[in-house]
Amino acid sequence: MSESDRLGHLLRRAFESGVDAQPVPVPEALRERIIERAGTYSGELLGEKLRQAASAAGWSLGDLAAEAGSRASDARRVLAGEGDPQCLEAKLWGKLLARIDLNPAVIRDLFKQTVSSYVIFSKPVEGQVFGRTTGLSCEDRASALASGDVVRDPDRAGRVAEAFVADVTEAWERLAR
Amino acid sequence: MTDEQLLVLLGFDPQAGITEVVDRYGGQLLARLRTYAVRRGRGVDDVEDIYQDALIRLLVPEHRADCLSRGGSILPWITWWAKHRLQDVWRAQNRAGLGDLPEPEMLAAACEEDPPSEVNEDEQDLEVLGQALAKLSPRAREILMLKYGQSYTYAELASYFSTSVGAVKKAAHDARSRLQELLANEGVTETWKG
Repeated sequence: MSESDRLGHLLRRAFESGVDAQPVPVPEALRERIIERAGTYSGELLGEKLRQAASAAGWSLGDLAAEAGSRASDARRVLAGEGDPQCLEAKLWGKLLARIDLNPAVIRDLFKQTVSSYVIFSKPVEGQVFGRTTGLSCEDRASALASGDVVRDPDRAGRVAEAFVADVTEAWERLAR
Repeated sequence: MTDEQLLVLLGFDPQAGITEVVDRYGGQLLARLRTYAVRRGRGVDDVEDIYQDALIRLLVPEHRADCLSRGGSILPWITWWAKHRLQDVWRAQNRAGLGDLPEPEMLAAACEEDPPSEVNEDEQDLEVLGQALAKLSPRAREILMLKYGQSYTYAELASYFSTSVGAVKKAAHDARSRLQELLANEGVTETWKG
């Protein structure tokens, strides 16, 4: 194809594709819907991966959640794609993943992303030590988040998530040995 | 923040990352998808669902890895992904003989698995071309759009602009030359050699 033909071909494709279109304002309701969905989507994806692995290993969700003992309801929430993965201890995660033959390395990035998306930090208050809400119970963390007295810090959240996933991997390896 | 840094942020802070993507590229992507649908003779009813899904899917780690492997530019990748999904939806509608499948079925048909397997090698070229087109005068852009986008003949162009065939031939030639000059300035001359 000659240079001229190639430009003509690409121009036809460019106009068909709309790359010449001028930006339009994104409707506010649509923007908000997308951002809100971004807050829950990682958990949904993780839940989906876990359910697939559980099904492949022959586990029903109820039976698998029951393996979490007193934390069965938290496990059910996480398996349903809701809730903070840190509601379950790393050791318990290791056990659940071992039951369904799922190597944490396979879901590492998504796992970290989901954990990280829930990690929030308390706003510093005068005369009070800067604390993290990751030390709070699930309910308290939800309340803190709802109260708005929290801040996001992606770098720190990433480090917390990295450490948590490393703990889960270690727990899983111990059981897999 | 570069696109590559933004892709990393999406993995640590999905909401902040998506907010940045929407604010940076959302308006452009929405305009492209609407234009694409209209120029393919389709309505824009399906566009918002696919638009939303395309943005949210940047939260799938495998998708971000795919975007990175194709150069790490978010807008061309997401445009390419969304266009493929629109095509999937339209194919599904054609097969069903329906213009408006219920939303869950439509999306299920469109979003079964991960990025489209075939690679569109022209996508980066189109991106550069789009940027160069934006720098042309509105008149030059309109001439090229009618000629290449709407397949107008020179006689039709002359009638549209109420001028002579010779004048529109020269105007189209000048517009192409200006475009090639802009592309050369971007250092992409080699791109056009077939």
